[in-house]
Amino acid sequence: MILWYARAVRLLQERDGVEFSNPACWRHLAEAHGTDIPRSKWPAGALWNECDHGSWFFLPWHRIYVYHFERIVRAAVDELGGPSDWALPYWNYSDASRPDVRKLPPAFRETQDPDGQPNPLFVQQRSSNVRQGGDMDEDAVSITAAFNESVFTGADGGVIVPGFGGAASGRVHLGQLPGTLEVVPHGMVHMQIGGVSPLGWMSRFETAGRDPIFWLHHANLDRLWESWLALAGGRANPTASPWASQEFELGSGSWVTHHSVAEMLDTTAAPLNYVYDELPVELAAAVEAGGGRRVPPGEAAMSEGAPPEMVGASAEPVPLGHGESSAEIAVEAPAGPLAAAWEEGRPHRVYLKLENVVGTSLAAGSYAVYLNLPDGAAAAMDHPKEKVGVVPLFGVLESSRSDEEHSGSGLSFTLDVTDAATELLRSNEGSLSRLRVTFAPLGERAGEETEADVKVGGLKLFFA
Amino acid sequence: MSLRAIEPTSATRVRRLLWNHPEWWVSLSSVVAWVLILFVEPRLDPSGQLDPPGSVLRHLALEVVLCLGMTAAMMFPLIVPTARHVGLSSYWPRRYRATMAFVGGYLAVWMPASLTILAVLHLLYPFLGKSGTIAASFGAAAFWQVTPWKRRALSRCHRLVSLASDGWRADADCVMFGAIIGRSCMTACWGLMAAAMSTHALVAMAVLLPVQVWERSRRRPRMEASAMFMVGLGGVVLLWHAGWPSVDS
Repeated sequence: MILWYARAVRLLQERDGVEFSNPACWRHLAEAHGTDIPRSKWPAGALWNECDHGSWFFLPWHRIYVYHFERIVRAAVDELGGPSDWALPYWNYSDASRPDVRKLPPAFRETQDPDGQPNPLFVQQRSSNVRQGGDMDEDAVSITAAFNESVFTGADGGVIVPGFGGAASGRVHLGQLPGTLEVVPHGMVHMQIGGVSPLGWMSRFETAGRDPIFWLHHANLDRLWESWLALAGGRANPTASPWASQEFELGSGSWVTHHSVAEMLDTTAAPLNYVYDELPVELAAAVEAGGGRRVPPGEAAMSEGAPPEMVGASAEPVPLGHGESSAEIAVEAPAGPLAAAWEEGRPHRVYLKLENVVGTSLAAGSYAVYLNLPDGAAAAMDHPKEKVGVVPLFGVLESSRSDEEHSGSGLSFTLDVTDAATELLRSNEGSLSRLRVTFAPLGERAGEETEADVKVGGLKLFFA
Repeated sequence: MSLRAIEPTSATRVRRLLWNHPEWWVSLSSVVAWVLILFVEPRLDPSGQLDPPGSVLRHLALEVVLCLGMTAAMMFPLIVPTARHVGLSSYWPRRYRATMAFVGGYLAVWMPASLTILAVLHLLYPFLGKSGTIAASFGAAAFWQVTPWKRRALSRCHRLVSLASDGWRADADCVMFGAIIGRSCMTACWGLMAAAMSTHALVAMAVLLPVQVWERSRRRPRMEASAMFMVGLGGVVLLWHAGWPSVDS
């Protein structure tokens, strides 16, 4: 399967030419995700720079994109005499029961393929760690947070709570809050593969599609979407018209894929016609059962339909540089409908929102986030009780630009910090007056000479 | 014993609406503005001024009210999601104050812009007449639709910023954010607003509002098509002002 993929990739790359005008060539497909090529130099009819991130269209757009890619690769495999039922493999990096699962598969690391030719799956523009067969961080491939989500988009439309699939949004290049799956493993794997010293292909929207592992990564994300739905328990896709009726078009000339989201939701029906051989539902169910932070809805303000309420904020932006950085949040008691829940001793859920992460130069690809790390504790030592999540900087450079495609808002993230906050509430006898949020860089880092300028615009704490 | 869902009462629904939409009054203001314009439109003379104008002071006051009404009617629907973001990102007791400060900053940019557009239209009217003024307005709007400045401004209309949470800094941030969005919005939409103001026709305004919504809800709106639409709509408005279709025909 992988060998035929490699042969097909080579064939697609041979079609590239100078302007990548062939809709079935490698770069034409890659540039559809993002491109550095000025619009004036795009071939006629090209639909490039189309990727959707930071909104509830992230999953459906990438499904259609991967489907379009698979059609073209399958035709290439057929042309080369390969199996007519060839299907795009997925990279299952989250299955801890298998050895070396967090290493880039050997087929993508070897410089030569079994035919003795330069391996088209090998890419120099990756982090030195994964090139040399090192593991990605365990945090980067965790599906726990994503599978713990019970809704595709938060009841607030994703203004504070993005849910599994992301904030409700119009079709803009970078919307508002990414869904939990888009953050981890999606963004984390991008940054761990691409690295930052220098920025590899997977680390940027404009170049990610050039790396052959990109497609296996997104096939896996598509599989995780199906797995999340199979978990049931109320997990479902949105039914709202703006989501289901949205249409996407990819390709040009003889290779056009044009479908609505609604047409792409049943993978077993035409036009998709595929099933995954393995959905990690059992694993996910175990994760959820052990998570212990599911609070059944139906009590107090939650059932009253109250939105999340802001109860604290940082005073200044927080830099994300080569070392640790931190900021304090003064927490106030809720004054709205959630006040009763607070009086009862605890909020149902606690969210930490990182607003407007912007920058033009990265010191690290991702950061671990801690709440109230003990004084003098080195975050690098890992403190699982205090660790509340990780945030990848995939897309920070692009979203910080202010141009015809980007508003310049940067990225925002919301982390569910209920477990850690509840623990703090217990240990502080119900008081949560000040929280210290600490950021520690993860994975490969840029050299100290790199003048990193990434900062978090503001931190806000919400009860729900 | 069986459990069954309890239907929320009307009061519960209203309470939920107010909790979840601290920007509700922005939407309501827009509706009120549409009703106001529906009432005022028949009383406008061909140049778009209220007839009879009365004293200069009264005239100016009416111009300001007219501009405020048209801004609320045409532009407020576009900032409802951003106003909601501002409200939900504020401490509970500050939600309305924050959204009002945001809208205040927005109007601080739009009101002078609207008054300037109106003044320019009044200046053009004696030279170009009603039809010429409409043609010039729609022509300028159609041209602006296809410029890169328009595209860039449209993109910036989606901007979100982190706001201070308390004290005068929170108020200042909300006002400043409103002004930032107002500037992007004005840069993007001054042409459409000029076209709407040149006609003072409720129907034309009602057609132009969806155009504004459409171009903001798309990643890469086809602005050439939008410009052609503006040319076509301008033509229809001119024919209508020329008395076509005639009742007698």
